[in-house]
Amino acid sequence: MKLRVNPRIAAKPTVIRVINGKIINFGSRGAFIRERAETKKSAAYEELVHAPTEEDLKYIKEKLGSSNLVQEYDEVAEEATMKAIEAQKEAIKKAQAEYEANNKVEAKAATAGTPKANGSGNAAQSK
Amino acid sequence: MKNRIIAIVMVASLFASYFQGMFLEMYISISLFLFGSSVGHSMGFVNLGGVDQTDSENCETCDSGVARFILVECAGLDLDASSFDPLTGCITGLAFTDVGIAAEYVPDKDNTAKLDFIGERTGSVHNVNVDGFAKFKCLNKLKISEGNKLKKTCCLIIIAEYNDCNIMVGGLDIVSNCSVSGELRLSKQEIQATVSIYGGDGSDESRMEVAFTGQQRCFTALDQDVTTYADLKTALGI
Repeated sequence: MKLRVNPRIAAKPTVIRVINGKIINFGSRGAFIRERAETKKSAAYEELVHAPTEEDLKYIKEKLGSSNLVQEYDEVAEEATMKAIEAQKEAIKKAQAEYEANNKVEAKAATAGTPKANGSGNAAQSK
Repeated sequence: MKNRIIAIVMVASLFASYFQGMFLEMYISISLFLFGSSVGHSMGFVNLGGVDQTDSENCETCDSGVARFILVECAGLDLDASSFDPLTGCITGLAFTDVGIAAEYVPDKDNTAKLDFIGERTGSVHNVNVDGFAKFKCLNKLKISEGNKLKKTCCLIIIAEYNDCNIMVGGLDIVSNCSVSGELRLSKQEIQATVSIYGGDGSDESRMEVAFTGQQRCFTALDQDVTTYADLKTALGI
């Protein structure tokens, strides 16, 4: 079993927590440099916001009680599921492309063939 | 004859199952009356720990009053990514989605600043009324501007450090019965700030006063063994 940031949380750009003094972004933006503006008490400075490591995830899971932030997952099972989903998606895409192509052919045939099939009346009337 | 016997046996078994059902129903209703809804479940205990006031650990930090506090706009807190300990009811970490969503306030040090969590029981419902107060003497443009901002906020999380260095978090609830391991949620009634500006009458100080009110379901302290006030300031970029 491996650990990862809950995908629902990881989809947000910035989700910041401080763990043992280290600023960590669990969001999709990953590591970045945060600029701190000058205040009356301090000059402006830059600080590094880290991306979470395996150790950080382990710390949260084991030491910080209940949270949805980190979840365990089975890499092999997940890979198999993802492969199955991808295969299914490909099959759906293929079927969809075929369906659309058929629709186009039918529509083309309908627009091209209608006046001829009807003989004379409709085409002449529409003009 | 054979058919008759079969019919009698069937009728008898029907009666038996009917009475058995009645008996079961009676048993369940009597049990529910006597033992409440705990029938069918394991007995639940809150695991009381007791408090011993002769233990020196229990009387070494008693300085009351709020030393400083952080106000966070609720929308800036990521509840999913925050964590808590369901056993102690403590918050072990808060996650924030942005900077510029919070500010720190250091009120007047004249024994007026407070943040109380007052229990109120109505039958089986135990609410915790949040009652906070902070005073900032000597009016100026900055305080008026801050007062205007505070009155606009509609949901606040208040992280208060007391003079004894305990830290309480107002505006959050740990709701134990909403999911398997409990859930961190915003409080039952959000904490709001009510701002007053006193120009005074010449005999007193001009001042801005802020009162905080809200209602939650439990008492929520910050577990300082794993997250400190400084950690939260760093995370919030203040």
